Amino acid sequence: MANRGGPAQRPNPQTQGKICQFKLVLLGESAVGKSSLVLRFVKGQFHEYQESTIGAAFLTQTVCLEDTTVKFEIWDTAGQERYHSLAPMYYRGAQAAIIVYDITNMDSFGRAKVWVKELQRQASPNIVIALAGNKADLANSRAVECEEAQTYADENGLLFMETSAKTAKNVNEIFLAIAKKLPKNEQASGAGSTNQGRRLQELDGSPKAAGNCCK
Amino acid sequence: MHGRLKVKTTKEQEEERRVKRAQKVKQYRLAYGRIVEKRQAGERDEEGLQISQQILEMIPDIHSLWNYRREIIEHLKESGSEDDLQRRLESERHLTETCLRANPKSYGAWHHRTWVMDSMPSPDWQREVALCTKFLNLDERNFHCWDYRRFVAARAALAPQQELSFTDDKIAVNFSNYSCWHYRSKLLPLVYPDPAGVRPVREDQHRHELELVQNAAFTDPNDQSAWFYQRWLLGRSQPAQAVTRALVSPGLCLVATARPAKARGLGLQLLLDSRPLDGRWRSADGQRCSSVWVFEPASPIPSPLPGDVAARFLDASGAEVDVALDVVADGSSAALNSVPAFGAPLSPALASVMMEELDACRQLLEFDPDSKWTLLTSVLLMQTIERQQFEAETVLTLDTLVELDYQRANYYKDLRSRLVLEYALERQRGDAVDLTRLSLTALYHAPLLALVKTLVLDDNHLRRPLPQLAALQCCETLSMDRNELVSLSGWGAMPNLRRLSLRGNALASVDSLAPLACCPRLRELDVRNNPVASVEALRSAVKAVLPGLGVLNGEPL
Amino acid sequence: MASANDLPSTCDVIVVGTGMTESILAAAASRVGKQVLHIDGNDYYGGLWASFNLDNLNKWVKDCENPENFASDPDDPNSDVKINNGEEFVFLQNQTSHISNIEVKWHIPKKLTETQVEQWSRKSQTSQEEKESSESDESKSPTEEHTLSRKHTNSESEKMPSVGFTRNGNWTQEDLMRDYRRFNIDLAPKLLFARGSLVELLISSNIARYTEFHAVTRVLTWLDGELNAVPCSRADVFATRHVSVVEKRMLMKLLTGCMDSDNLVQEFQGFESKTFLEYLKSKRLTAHLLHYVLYAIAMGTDTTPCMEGVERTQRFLNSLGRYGNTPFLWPMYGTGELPQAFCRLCAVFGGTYCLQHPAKALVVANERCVGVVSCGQRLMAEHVVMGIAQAPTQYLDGQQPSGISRGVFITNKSIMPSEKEPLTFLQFPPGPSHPNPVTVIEVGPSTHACPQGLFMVHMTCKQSKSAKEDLQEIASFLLTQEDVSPSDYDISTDNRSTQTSGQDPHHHHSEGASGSGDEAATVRTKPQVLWSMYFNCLETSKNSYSPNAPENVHLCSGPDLELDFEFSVQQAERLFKKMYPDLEFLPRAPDPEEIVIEGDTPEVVDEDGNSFEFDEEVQQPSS
Repeated sequence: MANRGGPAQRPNPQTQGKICQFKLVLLGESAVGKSSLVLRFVKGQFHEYQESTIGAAFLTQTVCLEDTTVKFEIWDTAGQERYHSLAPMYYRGAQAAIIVYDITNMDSFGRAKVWVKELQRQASPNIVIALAGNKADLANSRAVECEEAQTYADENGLLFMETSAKTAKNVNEIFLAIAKKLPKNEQASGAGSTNQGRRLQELDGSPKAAGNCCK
Repeated sequence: MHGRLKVKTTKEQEEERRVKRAQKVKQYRLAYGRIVEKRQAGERDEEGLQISQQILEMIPDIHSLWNYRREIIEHLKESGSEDDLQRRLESERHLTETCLRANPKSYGAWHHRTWVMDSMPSPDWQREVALCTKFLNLDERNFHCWDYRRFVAARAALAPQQELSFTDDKIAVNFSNYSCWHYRSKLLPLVYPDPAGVRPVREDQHRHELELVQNAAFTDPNDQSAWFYQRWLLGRSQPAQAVTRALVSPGLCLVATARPAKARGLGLQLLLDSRPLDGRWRSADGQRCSSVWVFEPASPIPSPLPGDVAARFLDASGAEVDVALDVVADGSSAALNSVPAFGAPLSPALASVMMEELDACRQLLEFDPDSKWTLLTSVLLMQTIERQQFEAETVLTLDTLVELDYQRANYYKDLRSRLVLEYALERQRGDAVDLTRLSLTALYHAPLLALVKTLVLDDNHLRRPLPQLAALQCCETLSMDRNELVSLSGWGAMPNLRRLSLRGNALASVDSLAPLACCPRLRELDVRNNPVASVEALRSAVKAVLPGLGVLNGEPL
Repeated sequence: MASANDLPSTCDVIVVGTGMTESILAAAASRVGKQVLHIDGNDYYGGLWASFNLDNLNKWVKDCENPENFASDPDDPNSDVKINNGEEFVFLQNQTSHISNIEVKWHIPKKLTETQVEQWSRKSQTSQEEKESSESDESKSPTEEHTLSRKHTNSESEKMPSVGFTRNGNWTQEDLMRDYRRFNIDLAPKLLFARGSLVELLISSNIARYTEFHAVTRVLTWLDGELNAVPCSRADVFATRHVSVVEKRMLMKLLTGCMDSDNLVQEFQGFESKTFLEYLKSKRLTAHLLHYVLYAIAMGTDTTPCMEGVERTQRFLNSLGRYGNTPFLWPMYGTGELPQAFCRLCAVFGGTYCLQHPAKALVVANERCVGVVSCGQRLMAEHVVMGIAQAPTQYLDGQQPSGISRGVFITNKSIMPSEKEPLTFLQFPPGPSHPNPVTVIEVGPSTHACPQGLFMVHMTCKQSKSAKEDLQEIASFLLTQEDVSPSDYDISTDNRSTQTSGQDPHHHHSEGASGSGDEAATVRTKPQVLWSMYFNCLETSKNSYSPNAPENVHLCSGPDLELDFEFSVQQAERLFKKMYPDLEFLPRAPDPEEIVIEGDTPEVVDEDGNSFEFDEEVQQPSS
């Protein structure tokens, strides 16, 4: 059954100030609930037997901070991580990442650590990384202690929360925490700014789509 | 199965869009109705701001809503502190920005922003400059934004040099940009004024600008904006004020000037032996601003005149300038009738640049013989460089243009008339001037004809009203046979006109002759070969309209 | 490592190799609902189309030099996989056989001497201290002998001075290797025409959102022994000071003439069987203009037929003004990103990806391929798609393919420094010593091709001898290839280091230059080559496949000589139509807003994501 929970913060049309767009990638072993987290965040939904993420290239969702609207462009792995064949293109230029593990599965935590290393080596140096111990609703089958993960996160400068896509615990919170930590200046405003590349669009090279931080 | 991702069909999406649109329309109607109510009730409050904002965010170009917001803010200002006003206007500024982001050409939003910034207790002009730059980077031809930038630049007291280099950048991106060239024409005289006051800008910079335009012209001769700018560059600067014609005689005293001016600014005086004559000046055409002024002396002009007769006027700087008149041998009158100076003198350096420009035009014409902007430019260049040398080519080129560019034919014909007349007036300076068969469509430089007694304008294409004839204060005989006159309305008052020949025009009714009543001394009129000539009982009808007439169509009345 | 047994044993399409055409096909099949299994024996995407960092490139070079080391199927297929009656195994080739004549060379010292390090640190101490204080948030790397330069090793930030900059351009091998991850070196560098078929496909299929591009900033040509900026857009023509105004008119008139489709027939009457050169001569173009149009804009040669030249000119001009001042785009992180983008779409629609999974053989029965043997598993499919590099030799037409000569150079500055970081396309015209034009692409740090302070020059031409022989001369026109010895970095004789300091833009920036590509005509010092690589690669785009191949095996060509990806896109589309004649080729993938999840009632949200708080606010006051 589809559990409907409250949707994430809706953008407020009255918001003053700038809008910044960021690319956020999800990483982690298969079946730790990466897509479920996104669905909970973006659509406020949870499906017990979620099919893998066919057709969802990426989803977008907006978070409102005091003076800034942060628009997340959330990339899902599309299952390419399954045989350790995730394309480097996936995390190119990502400004934020959520590395997800399953608190009932120690291996998935080990795999998460590998991803942290990989990102620290390959991704942009300013990337904001959050570690999410998902399936917090299954705490009675816990295999990874919260303290252990917290310590690891602290040592590596990661945001950390235990989340549950099913109960919505900490889902909005973790995205919000990332939004707060992201730099909001012009240079950091994601795809489209001058030193970044440009996306190709239908609107014949009209440069209007560029420069998301219209301060 | 739940949780499977599915793509909405086009139909579903269309339906969603339709529902959304319908909702929006509903909301808009509701909100707008509420605004009208509130405005009628004179409610100027926060709610009004809120509702109008919601509409404007959807449709930014509703002027009455912007006006309403202005009224509200003006009203609320009275009860709030300066900080309140600043905050309110900042949020207002933000609203216009939101609207402009959606529609960068919203006139209403730009206009409102101008007001907002001017009303703000502590405006941040640099921020506005940056905003303009941003919008112009997105669309370098957004003329609303150019207008706003000029406003901002003035308020922020930006260095013209800095703005000029901004236009450099924009021109480099795309030179088809009227707004940008125009802004340039405003900035250049500030940055590089011409010390001689002859050119629009200092000579070296002038040269640079001409090269710039030439590059644009050769890249794309069909782009009008660059040519438009070039015309500003080549445009003859306004001639300095001068007395071009003067007459002092017992019957008539007058002065004609190079440019029309008001009596006060002109400060005209007539001097006999350096003593100003007492009397009153009135303009020949009855306008406050005129080029021909008639002097009505308080006491009769002495005869014979003394040897020293002069006219005095004030130049642009307000200094008195005296011009001596030539007194005729018997002392009965004194006059000034010098050779007119058309076009300012060129320095050799500038002349050679212009010559290069002209050569370039000729080369361009080899590629595109029909390029009208190139043809027109070559005319302007020839006129600027050396008028005398290019008389025939000028006329020929203008004739070509008339053929090529039908839509602007009248413009070329008038230009041609002016230039042809200038050539003629350089040659003829006597009491009688003959301008027969010059294809004139307009009568320029009439003030230079102020002393002429006999003027022949036969076989031209004059058609429009001729108020400028009022300048011909001395003219006794005027012939305009075989022109295209349809009516004589607006005919200028010619106090000394005695004989007028209008044979072979298109005058149809006796009424059309009535304006000639402004010429009190008219005795002889010839309207043969006009439709009016076959009007029944012509003679009595004319007599009724022009009672002073003695001879009509060669026969006494 | 996941076990190979996890792979689905049957699917609709197996794609072997992640080259460009293969990846487009994989995406197209997956997009229309086919189950796609995409495998590649390499541990990277792209095959011969890949982009590597410096370390991975070295590995690739080693593999090519020693093909026997090349990752091969660990399992003997015959031991695990049974051949059924009537079946036979047709073994695949190793793709590195397509690479030959590899020569890699360092032109700089391994490291600086102790004295030099000391000198440099003393000299740049003061300025460095300032910089360091403003960058104190940087994570400190372990310090070795190059404390000053190592600082930025992990940084991608563009504003920071690069390693080389801080040491005034005295690069060492260690410097480059330390930054090895910041290189993206393309095996098959290509530009995209802004209105070329790949750009259109990326947009129409909605794959464009996965990739980012930089517009090429300038088109250069080699004329009279010098580099020249080619005025190619209207703005360029307007701004250039290298041609007279009359030439400007000639050029614009010629170009507009080529674009004026209404009068094309009339304009080119009588030139149908003549060369483009003859046509241009008939237009009385000056030598400069003729060169610009023929060699740079039409990218032709003296023998290019007239109508082909016109077509090429049209293609160039049509692509102008869409994304920048030139007709070309370059993908961020290199061309190796493009196959990955198609693979991602394939995965998004359910395709399964498995790298390091070599295919050993095809299973063929009754002249049909029934599947692939890989890692001891039989993988069955309706269709098998594979790169020609791996195709069994008996499936090829036996015709010896022609070759491509490639040169890659890491340099210490641009071939023609400019105010803003340039991205250059240069088609080197054929000359007496090199019968074929050479395509030169120079990319800089902002494309992530290399670290700050460096540039990467790619050269490509048709092979006639070895890559080095084919390209060395052109390389020497543009670059200094002599080795730098450690003593050249002696601070007391500072000549070379200031020349190579990357500060040239300021010297060359003449007053009033407005980015038009006009550089002061001063004598330039050529960039120093720090590292170079030459290799040859087979050009298989002209090859056809013998009728021996089963009709459900689809072979995809490797990188071709042309500048753009036209060939791959067309080949992919053609093969797709052969596989699925009735299905649409890469229809637009939906945007996030268009996706619903079953069991979910769609809520009405407007384009900006605003739900309608509006209603209530408006209605409140009136109630």
